[in-house]
Amino acid sequence: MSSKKWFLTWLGLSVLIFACVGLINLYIDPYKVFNWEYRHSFVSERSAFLSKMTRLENYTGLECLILGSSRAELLQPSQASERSQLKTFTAALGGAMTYSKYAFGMKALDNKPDLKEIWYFSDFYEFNEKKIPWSTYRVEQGREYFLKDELEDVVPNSEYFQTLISLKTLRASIKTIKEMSRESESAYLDDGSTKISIVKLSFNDLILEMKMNFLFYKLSRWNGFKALSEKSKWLIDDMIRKANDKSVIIKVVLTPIHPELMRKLESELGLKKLWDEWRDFWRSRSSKTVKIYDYTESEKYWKSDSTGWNDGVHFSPEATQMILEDLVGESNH
Amino acid sequence: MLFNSYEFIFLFLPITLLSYFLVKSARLKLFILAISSYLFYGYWNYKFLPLLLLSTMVDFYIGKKLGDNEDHPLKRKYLLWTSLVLNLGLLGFFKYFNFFMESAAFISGGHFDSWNIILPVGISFYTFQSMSYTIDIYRGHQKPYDDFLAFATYVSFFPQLVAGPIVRHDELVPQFITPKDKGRLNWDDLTQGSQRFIIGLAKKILIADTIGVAIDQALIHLPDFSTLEAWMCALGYTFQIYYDFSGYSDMAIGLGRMFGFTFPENFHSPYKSKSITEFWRRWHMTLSFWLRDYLYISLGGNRSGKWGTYKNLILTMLLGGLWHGANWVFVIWGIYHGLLLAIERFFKGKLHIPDGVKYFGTFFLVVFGWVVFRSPDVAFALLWFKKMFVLEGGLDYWHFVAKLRDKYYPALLVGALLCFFAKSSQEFDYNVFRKKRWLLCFAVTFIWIVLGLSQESPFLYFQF
Repeated sequence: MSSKKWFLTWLGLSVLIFACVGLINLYIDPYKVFNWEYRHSFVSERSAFLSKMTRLENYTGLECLILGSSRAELLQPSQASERSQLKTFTAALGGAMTYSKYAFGMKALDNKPDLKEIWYFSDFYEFNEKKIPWSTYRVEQGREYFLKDELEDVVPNSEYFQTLISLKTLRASIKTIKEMSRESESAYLDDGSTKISIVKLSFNDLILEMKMNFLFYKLSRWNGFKALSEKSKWLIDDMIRKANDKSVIIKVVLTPIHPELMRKLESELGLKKLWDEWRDFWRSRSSKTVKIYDYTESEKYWKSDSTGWNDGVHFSPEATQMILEDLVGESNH
Repeated sequence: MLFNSYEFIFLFLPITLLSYFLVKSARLKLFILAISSYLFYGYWNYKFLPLLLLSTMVDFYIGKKLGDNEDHPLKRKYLLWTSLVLNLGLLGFFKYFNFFMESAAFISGGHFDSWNIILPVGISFYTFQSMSYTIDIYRGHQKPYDDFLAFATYVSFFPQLVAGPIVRHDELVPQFITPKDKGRLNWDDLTQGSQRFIIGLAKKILIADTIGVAIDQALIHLPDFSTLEAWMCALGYTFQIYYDFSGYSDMAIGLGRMFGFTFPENFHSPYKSKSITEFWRRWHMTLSFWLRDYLYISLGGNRSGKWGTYKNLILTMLLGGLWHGANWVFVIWGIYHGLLLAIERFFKGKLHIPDGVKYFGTFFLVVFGWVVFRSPDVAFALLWFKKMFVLEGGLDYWHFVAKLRDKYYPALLVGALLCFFAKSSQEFDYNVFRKKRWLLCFAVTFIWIVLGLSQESPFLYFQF
């Protein structure tokens, strides 16, 4: 084969494949971020944010909304509904940062007239947000809340092209097509809850698990954490303002971490000052309509052994029940 | 802008190639290369463009003046020193100021607050390239060029601007002044250049980055390492740095070839060396040869007697180490290699060592050097060595995140096998790649890599 033929064939093949990948991703739109006029209309499960947002939109009679990360996922809305007598939906998402919690909260405040309470599980690391994840920003149901001057420069548009011809998006598209044909069971129920299984750890295993968690969080959630994000603060204050307008009470849970992990946070990462700033931020927002449930210092609830913990960051079912009791106001904190 | 980025692959490169080959005038072609190169550099930080231009203009002017003053040795000396002071001054300030001040403060028991100095990308490379021009004219090896555009393009040419190879002016400027086929598109060059580029991309992304991600995360926990983990990181980095740097060089050489220009080779299977001397003839060859020609020989080379030669070797390697970065680990790494070279020179011809031992020994001597090179400071390096040689932790490797570890092993294995048994990139018969099955292989590799380009991964040698 001549060099010219080789090069042009290679170039043509590459362009063709990139175009096919781009078209597949554009048509299937697994994260629902491109919103092409001719895209497939089914709901994709690829994006947890998208899945929960769709379910929230379809949930009628919502009275209580749970916002949080994986730490709030153990709180089952059915139990919460039963204890609080409020029809509850959980928008808790693993790894959720302020932006996604904000989008869920504002969606509910705008569209759910029966909403009475928001239970906001605040994680320390959510204030380490640097920019909105592209998959959150671009989702149709999320975008409307982020097109604000205060949040400019948080999303590079160059990510559009990267997402369009990315292998990750292609895998998501293929998985979506397979699920379409098999009608597979959704990971989420109508009230937003997820099926979660818990494996109880011994104390030694807990310590080992915490070591690994520390490694993970150090490189991700706590990486480069120098100051509380101003944008995260703005989002929270904006949501509080809206909640006040709608007479919705926000119950804020300041989620602790295991004392052992806390010691490493202080000694190895020097994050004590930020930790205190995070708590002070919320305490300063305490009012008749914003109630703070601060669990960060109470070893009464959060023992150093493995009782209250699933790992160093996630609570056990027993600890989650204690929080639930506090939130519905039946026990003193 | 990185070679392994969407903006380079889909925007910068196609536009530059098309512009270059669509215009007919050789002069305009050169102008396009110069502008593209300055745009490429400016994309990183446009504020440092004047620095690049200053270094270029000063050395071009000094070169002209050196040519005008052939019969005035004192004036020539002053001119040369001006070039050296400017180039080394720039390098010294941006790269070494904080290092020297902190070291001086440490020695004197004082304190120095580091200045916030941004290191211009590629300064170590373009200052060396620029200096070699004035030195060669001074030595009478080269006449000054009349064509400023050709010279400016040489200094700034984007394929090799930020991380080499260190191309000598006489290797590239003549090609710019009189391009092959008047700069017309040559399909062989375009094809083989693309193939070399893809090979480099594969080395960088599929091997270097895969290993690098795993060991970077693990090394944070060096104090808790087992012996196995310490060795995993040492061997991992040995292959990571090779594939990262040689991959970049392949891309640079491939890009130059696409435009019809030939660059010197930079690597030649360095881990197949039987001695450290041989290693330095195979690793970062353009730097080795630059150090030999402009530093080692200037110091006296091997004409200074036995002990003078050893001193010159150690001093050259010390400065070569320092060139890599403003940190005592690079100085120690340089001295280490200098000592090894001197020791080899001392025992040359006196010992009879089987080839297997030579290969094995050389490889592990190089690995130990990389442990120092990779460490952020001397204490880290000492701890790492301790972890490697004092048995502890059994076969634990849980500091390697499972998801990354599963990719680390195959990347390391493939990397090692290719290093020891495969031909180096310049030894391939590129005509073989014109077969259909290779076309598919290159296409799939290229597409796979580009589809996976979701995160920025700069080249290790960008920091030098």
